[in-house]
Amino acid sequence: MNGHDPGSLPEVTPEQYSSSDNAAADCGSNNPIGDTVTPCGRGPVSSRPCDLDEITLSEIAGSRTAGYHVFNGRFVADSPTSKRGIRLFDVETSLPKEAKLQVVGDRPGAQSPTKILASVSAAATCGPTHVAVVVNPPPGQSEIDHVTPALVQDTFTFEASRSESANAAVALFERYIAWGIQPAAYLVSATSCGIRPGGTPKTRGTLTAEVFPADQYQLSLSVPAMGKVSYTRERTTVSSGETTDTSTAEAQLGSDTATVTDTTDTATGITVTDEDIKTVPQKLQFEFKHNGQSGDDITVNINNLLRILSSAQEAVKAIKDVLHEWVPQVGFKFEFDLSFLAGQIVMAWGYKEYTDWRVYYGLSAKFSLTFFEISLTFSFGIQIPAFVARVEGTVNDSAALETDFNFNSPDMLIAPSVKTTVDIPASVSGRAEAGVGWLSVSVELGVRTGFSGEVGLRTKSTTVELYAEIKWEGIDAFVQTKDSPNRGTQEGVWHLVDEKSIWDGVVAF
Amino acid sequence: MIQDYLILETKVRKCAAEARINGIPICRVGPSGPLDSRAVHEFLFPGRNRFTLSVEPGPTPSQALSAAAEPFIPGDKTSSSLRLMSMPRGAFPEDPGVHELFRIDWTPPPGQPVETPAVLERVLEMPNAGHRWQWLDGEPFDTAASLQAVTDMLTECRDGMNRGDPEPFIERAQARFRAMLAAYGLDVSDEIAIFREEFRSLAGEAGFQMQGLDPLTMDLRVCADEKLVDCVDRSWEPLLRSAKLPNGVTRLRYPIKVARLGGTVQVVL
Repeated sequence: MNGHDPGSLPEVTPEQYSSSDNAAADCGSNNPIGDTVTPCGRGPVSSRPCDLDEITLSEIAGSRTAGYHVFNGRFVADSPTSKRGIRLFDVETSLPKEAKLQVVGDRPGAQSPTKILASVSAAATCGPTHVAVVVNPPPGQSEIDHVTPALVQDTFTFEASRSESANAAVALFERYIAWGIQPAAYLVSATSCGIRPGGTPKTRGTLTAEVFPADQYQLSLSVPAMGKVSYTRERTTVSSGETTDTSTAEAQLGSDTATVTDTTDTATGITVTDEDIKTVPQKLQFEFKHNGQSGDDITVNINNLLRILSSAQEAVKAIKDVLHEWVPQVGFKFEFDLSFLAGQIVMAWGYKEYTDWRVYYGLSAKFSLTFFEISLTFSFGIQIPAFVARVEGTVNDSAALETDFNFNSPDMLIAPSVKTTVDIPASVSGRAEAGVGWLSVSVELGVRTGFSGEVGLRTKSTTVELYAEIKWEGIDAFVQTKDSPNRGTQEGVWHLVDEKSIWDGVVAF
Repeated sequence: MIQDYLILETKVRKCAAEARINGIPICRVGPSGPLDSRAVHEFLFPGRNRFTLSVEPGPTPSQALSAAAEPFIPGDKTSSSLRLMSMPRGAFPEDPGVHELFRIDWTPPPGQPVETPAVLERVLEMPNAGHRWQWLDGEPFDTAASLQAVTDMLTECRDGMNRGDPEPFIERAQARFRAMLAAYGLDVSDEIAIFREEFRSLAGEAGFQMQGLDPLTMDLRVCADEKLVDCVDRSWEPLLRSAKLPNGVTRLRYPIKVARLGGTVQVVL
């Protein structure tokens, strides 16, 4: 602790002073005068009064936040709208009366740590008295004690570090996009042990400096269409019963054309501009920046993304395995073009200092996604008692998600929510082999076929997530058959293809 | 049974269409059932045969060729096609040995209004196709009485079927059984026996009964130079059919066309 000279000041005990005492004027203080004095316990009590009103606590203008200067012993914002000065007690009504100062800061050991400046005006110490300022940091850091010398403008600074996140989530969104992190709290208290002739000094005051992570993130993601996958089984003679399998799979995730610009991180907020969204990309590109530097997790996240795309592709491809009782002699064809998450996501996020004493979580994003686009054709044989027939189907449509949002103020609730319904019916038809038999397949209005579900963006606790619930509904069709032109047409409901989940859950990468 | 077939394929996408051969309605396809593929020997004559594709026909069978009050606006990829193929027995269109004899395609530009029905035709000289069918020499359906005779025949057949008795229909369909022998080589007695067996089997199912004939919904369509009547209702359903079951299924339909032969109404197609 910084001490003072106990020998130069007579010890006193709490005394009564009359309300007419005008010693406050000597101190330069305009505060009312009370009638009790409490020693601080840090040493001999001064015989002269002091007052805590003139203690200023402010963030030091650093490399990230500029625009403060000292004026009349106080930190004053350059702009009238961006005052950050906070006092233990309000002495200037134009400044916000708050008990908290919120700033952003780096982890302990950073090269340019955030500093908090405590300023005690000469007036507060009024002669040979002192004010003791104590900073109680978060666990693991040492307490800071500071006693001001008398009758001089005194300042001291202390470093403030953000808390460490214990988030062990693997997915990019969950790991880095989280606005629920608890700030590191620095409790600052000031105690006056001085005696003011004629009145009661304010004896103790506290405020909290909260330090949020200063990390800023940017993500741009461009996903091309995945390409065509085909699976065919060539027709062979009925007598041999043999079939030939030929499968081809492609995931066109690369070409020469590139894609997207970086996000823009403005001084007052996080904003993604229209320029950041381009047309549907031709190439997979993933760019993740942490405080302006490329992140270390790019490879992991690209692999996760590819795994998602591959899983969706495999799920659609597996529809061919849920065809019912197809007969090989008619041949088999299953071919699809799939896009899943094709398009662009551009995001920027992180804690930001607002134009007042508050810190907010800034989140800005643009989504231009063809979330799910399918062009599926299939055909397979079925056995009617008197002949074989072929069912042919097509599914062709898409579900897109176009949205953008900007949360650039502490007064905005972060709650992005947008969804798109997936309703892509199948068109199904059928034909008999050449002969006197006849077959017709129809799908009644209202009967679910094809793909259905919902895709979107939603808020989950303290993060956002892309989600998709997409299901292949299977095919139940009305099948009419006639064995010969002389007969009647029989009709029944045929369950041709089973249902199957394509994707159900969070699209986390 | 013959080994080579003339198969007419009618397809649509995002529209409806009706196919005719020599003025005889063959099928109607639409979004819920966009494809019809069938052998059409019984509709062909030796010589010139006219194939017609009517896209977006009128709202009822008898109004199918009437001009629509409002133009049709095709969507993206709206299309319709009609093609005739010569196919070996058991084949599918892409198989070896299949020959496309003609093809009509209707592919309107999207968003451009189209007067409907859009009618496209192709005449094909087919000297060896079909036969000089008996019904071509039948009497025309040109009076109310002749159409009433059709209703009477349908009532007789329907009532018999509702009792589980297909014989009135079989009696009226003798000309068709003979025509199918000529067209496809289908043995008449075998076909009748199987017809009888099939009907009785279906008529024995729980809930089976024939749909009643409602004069308000009947839409007897005179066609083929008044030589035929297509026995359908206003929703293009065959008049002779079983009542729809609770699951939406109509177990049995008899799409028939009748002619006046020797003073009586006969099922000929």
